[in-house]
Amino acid sequence: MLFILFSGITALDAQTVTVGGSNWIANAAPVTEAGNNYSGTLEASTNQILLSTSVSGWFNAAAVSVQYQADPIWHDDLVISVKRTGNGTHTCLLCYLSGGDNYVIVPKVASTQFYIINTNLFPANHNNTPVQIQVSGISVTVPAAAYKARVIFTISSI
Amino acid sequence: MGSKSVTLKKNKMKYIFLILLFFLQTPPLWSQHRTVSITLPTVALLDIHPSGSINLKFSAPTEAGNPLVNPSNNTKWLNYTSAVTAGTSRTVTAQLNQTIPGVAIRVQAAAASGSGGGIRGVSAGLVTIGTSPSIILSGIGGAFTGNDVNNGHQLTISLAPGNYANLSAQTNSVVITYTLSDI
Repeated sequence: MLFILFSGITALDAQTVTVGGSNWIANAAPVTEAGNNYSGTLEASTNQILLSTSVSGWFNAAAVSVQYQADPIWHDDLVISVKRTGNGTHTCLLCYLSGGDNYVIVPKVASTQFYIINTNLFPANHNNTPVQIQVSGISVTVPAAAYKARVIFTISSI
Repeated sequence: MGSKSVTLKKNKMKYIFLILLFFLQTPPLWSQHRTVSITLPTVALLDIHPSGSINLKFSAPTEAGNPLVNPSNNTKWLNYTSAVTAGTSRTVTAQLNQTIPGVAIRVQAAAASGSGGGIRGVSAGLVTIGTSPSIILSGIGGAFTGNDVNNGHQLTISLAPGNYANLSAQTNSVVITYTLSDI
């Protein structure tokens, strides 16, 4: 009976993240003058990615983490960063998002914490939280190739 | 027989319920992604600064028996931007549109200086150039030199008397063509 009660409570810990928006194709302006390099940094639109998250109540907090994976090739000199440019809409009472409003470098090996969803007694549902992507380190010193990476967002309880 | 069947069904239901509970109590963790793409093309741009021609004039010796005095004030700056695929490199060659009988035309590229970065070229030293391309820089990878004078490789163009027997007083105009090319 206790097991059933425990299971019932932990089942309420459910959290989900849905990644909306669109994939980003970064277009570097061509170098037209001999001796010059690319400008180095490109930014997507401020709402390139839209994250929708759902966290159960019971004063649970959840963290959205981010990492990237080469798909199939990426170069380490190309640095991907993300930042949260707003809160989106929410249906919860007194819940709030914290962190992630400055660029966070997206690592390859292990995910890093992006922002936190703080809840209270009631479930927290945030919709269309806007996220901007930046790629820096764009240079002619990076071998010429077509690069692609998956930016992976994960939600977990903390 | 009937009660045994009911007991088995009850047990089965219990197991299914317990399995469901097991999955329900596993902390859920969701991941989704979007992609970022960027295509960096190969780039090969080369320029010479400052623009315009240079005049090279031998000076007559003031002492009988001495050789001609080679001209000075004969430098340019070579700028380039090079983006290559992994594992490849480029050279810069120089060539003349014509030769001058009895005169050797030489180019020397200095080491890269000024702004810029990446794998810039290694000088081949003092090179006498002709109407076929001669390598003056090699091993250029992904690199940029910076733009305009005082950036990149300073080029020193010099003349040297070759065979005095072929020399004659004359004015010539020659064009030196620099090419950044794949190996």
